[in-house]
Amino acid sequence: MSLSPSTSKMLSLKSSDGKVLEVEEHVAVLCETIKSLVEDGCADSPIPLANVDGATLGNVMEWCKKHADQKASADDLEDWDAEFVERDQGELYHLIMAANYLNIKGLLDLICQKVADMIKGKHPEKIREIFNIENDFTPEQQEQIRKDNSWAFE
Amino acid sequence: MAMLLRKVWESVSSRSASHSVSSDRHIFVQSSMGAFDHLPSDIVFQIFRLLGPKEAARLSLVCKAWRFLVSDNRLWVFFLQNEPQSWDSIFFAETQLRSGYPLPTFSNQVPQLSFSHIYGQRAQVPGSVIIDGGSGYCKFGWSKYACPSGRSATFLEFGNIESPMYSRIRHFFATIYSRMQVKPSAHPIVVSIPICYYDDTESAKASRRQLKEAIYSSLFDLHVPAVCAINQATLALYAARRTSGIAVNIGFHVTSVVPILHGKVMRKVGVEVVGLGCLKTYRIPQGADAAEEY
Repeated sequence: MSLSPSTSKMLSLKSSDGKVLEVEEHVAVLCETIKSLVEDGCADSPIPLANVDGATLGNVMEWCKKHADQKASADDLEDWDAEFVERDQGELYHLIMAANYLNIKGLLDLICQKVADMIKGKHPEKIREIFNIENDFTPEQQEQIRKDNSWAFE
Repeated sequence: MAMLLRKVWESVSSRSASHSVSSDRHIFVQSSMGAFDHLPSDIVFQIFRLLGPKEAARLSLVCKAWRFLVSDNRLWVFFLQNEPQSWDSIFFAETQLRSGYPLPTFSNQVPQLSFSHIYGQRAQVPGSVIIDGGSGYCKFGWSKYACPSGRSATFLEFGNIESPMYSRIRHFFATIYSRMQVKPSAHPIVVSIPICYYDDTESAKASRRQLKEAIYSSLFDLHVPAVCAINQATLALYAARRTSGIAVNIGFHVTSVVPILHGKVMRKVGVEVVGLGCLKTYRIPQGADAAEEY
């Protein structure tokens, strides 16, 4: 089976909210989950993706399309990726879940790194604020945690 | 066939859809984790791994749910595996040696370990000085490295360090410390006790005790914070990640065969000593090093 761009045919992907997206096969196969369906010859009619909504699917395929482009240079991709992950948390969350479900390692790594960067170097109070987390520790408990992990707070 | 596979795929995807998430493994916690409440735990760990140990440990202050996730052993085993020291050695030390004497009798009795706690302790004490003073040569170095960082000829410089003379032993340790350019008070030390006075007699026992006491008092007088003095053969066995076995130690003057059970030298069984060391047996020089290293 040839997956080269020149002979690439179109696949139909159906999102959880019923939207159908036409995507070139060589782009869609960046998703390992879809790739195995294609290899098994099960990709003739619309592929139902029950865990991915239409908007997220669009974003995921945008990423796949860019990364399937043989002409894109590494630097170009890096800049493009940096811009791609500039999104609100809700979108990032859906992208992580979709990348996990569709098994796209590159996209999953990219967004995990983005979330790690959001956490890195921040004070616990700031992290709670960013992720909208309630502080459920008493001041005494916090003191104890600091003490137990004193090596990390030096 | 294609049709069948397709049906299976549809039923699988709709089933996982009814669970609304795709990963099998989930951690259920009471409190909210904010926007990332429903992330599968393996993805949360991927994010924590990217942060590195220090930042990850700090996250335990955020909320109870995050503290629970951050304390997971899988995360800290990952961080420990990325340490310069070999993971096998760390695991052996933590499961077999941590409790001190008496050592666990059965190796399958793995206690409940918190690797985040272990990581923290190891981060606070990054390494010990190791001094292995043999009758011929002394090797010295750091517990975090696989090889000694230097060696010197004990017998030429210090005479017989196996005779329990306080002043000689103190001079010996002070010289090694200055050679390592280390302040004695800055690090704990692991020191090997030479295999001498090996009999199970009263006088041999008394000499062993005297030698140990001379080692302890000279090191504590140098303000060393903690001393672990262990028999050379036992240490060699530990380096091979065993607590029981027979160590054949080809020393400078003598070769000894030492049976060890759960970290204890079995003197009642008998320590065999052959009056030939590498000083006289020129034919097996590589063997001498292999047995002596730890």
